[in-house]
Amino acid sequence: MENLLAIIIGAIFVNNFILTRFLGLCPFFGVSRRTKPALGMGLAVIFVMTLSSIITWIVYNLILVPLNIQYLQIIVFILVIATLVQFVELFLKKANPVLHKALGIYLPLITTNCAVLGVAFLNVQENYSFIAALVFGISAGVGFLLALLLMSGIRERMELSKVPKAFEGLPVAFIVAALMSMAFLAFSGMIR
Amino acid sequence: MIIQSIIVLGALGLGFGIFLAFFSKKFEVKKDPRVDEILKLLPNANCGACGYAGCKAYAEAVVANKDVPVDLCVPGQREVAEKVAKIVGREVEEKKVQLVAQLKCAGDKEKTSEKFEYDGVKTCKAANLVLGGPKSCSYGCIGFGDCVKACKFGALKMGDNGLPVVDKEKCVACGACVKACPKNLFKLVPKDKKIHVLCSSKDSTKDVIKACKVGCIACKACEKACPVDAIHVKDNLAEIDYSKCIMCGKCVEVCPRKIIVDERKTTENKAKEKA
Repeated sequence: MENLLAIIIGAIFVNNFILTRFLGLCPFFGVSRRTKPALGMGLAVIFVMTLSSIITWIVYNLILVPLNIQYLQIIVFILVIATLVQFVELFLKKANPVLHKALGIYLPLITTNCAVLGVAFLNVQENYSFIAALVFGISAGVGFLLALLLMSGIRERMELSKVPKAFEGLPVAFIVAALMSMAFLAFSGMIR
Repeated sequence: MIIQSIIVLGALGLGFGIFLAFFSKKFEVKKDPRVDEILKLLPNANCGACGYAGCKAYAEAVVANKDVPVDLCVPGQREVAEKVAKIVGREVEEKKVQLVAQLKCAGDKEKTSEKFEYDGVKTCKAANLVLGGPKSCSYGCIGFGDCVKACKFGALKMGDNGLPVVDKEKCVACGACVKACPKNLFKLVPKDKKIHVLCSSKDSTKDVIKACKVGCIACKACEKACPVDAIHVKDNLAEIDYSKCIMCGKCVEVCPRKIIVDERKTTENKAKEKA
């Protein structure tokens, strides 16, 4: 139990996928302009991460390891993630077309979101049990959502504030991301 | 080992493929092909003049609901309405009067003064929050061009005198400027009526004279001059009833402030100047 708690805190704060591991920066900058799509994107990522960590764990431990073909893990993981993203896209198109439109190209881009692939690989690397992998997947997604929401909140306000002309838009977002990342580094040391 | 890899990857791929195929059928969004057809016809400016969130929303509504009129697209005008009607199998109703946007203010930089120096965000909306803007007339055009930005058809330009100019050929009466102006200076008027009161001030005569060199002072000279009872002074402001106006131009002649303007004359004058 304690171990799981460490995984949760670790994935959300200490080793936040975006702000400490620097994974998944593309949607982080692409969808963080408004809070609402950011929330939708975060939830979609949580969904994909959770399911993909479950399925990749099953595939890896029950298929790849017994057959001794672990070297296929990259291609298999990508296959799993791509399928899940397609599924999410189909689902969103039906259930919430507005959100689907707002997410735009970033939704299919979850496929190539290294954070999702990163979760799958870290599960393998850390030799997590099934439950641990599941928890790690969820909390990594929550960490992603947290970073996305914080960023979108800041960027919404930043639009109203005076920014030097050369820094308007993305440049200042990068600076903000760097500052947030430094702030998140303060969590390091909380766990191991 | 190679065979194992091939089998595993093949099986996984097949499995996922079937899974996706199944759900793509299950979550299929049924789309009426007519929606796309109509969408192609519409101007796709998403101006919102039809009252829907955009061209797509209107196309969907007009296909789905029989009570949605086919001629709601203002910029598309009758041409589009007829095509839309053809696609959904309905008739276009009687033609409405064509409208254009008209700015109801003539208080340009020379005719008004500034109450104070405004140094805030350069939009009318923001300036309006500060004591109603820097202009001496609190009803007058602030001149930062929120309307120009709102116009998606390039029909509005900011003139040299600090007032926006409507290009009536390009204007499609979508009403975006009407909504954008914090002073409500735009009105949609019938395109064929050429005489307008270029003032929106409801201030008393004394205040208007102080604020603006041309504003309506509610002298009622126009009211008396009008042969068809089409112009009335209401709340210190002359207003033309376009349904009655016969464009005789009598009010234009008598107005001591020259705030009632006959467009035919101004455009003719401009043409003469050019020639």
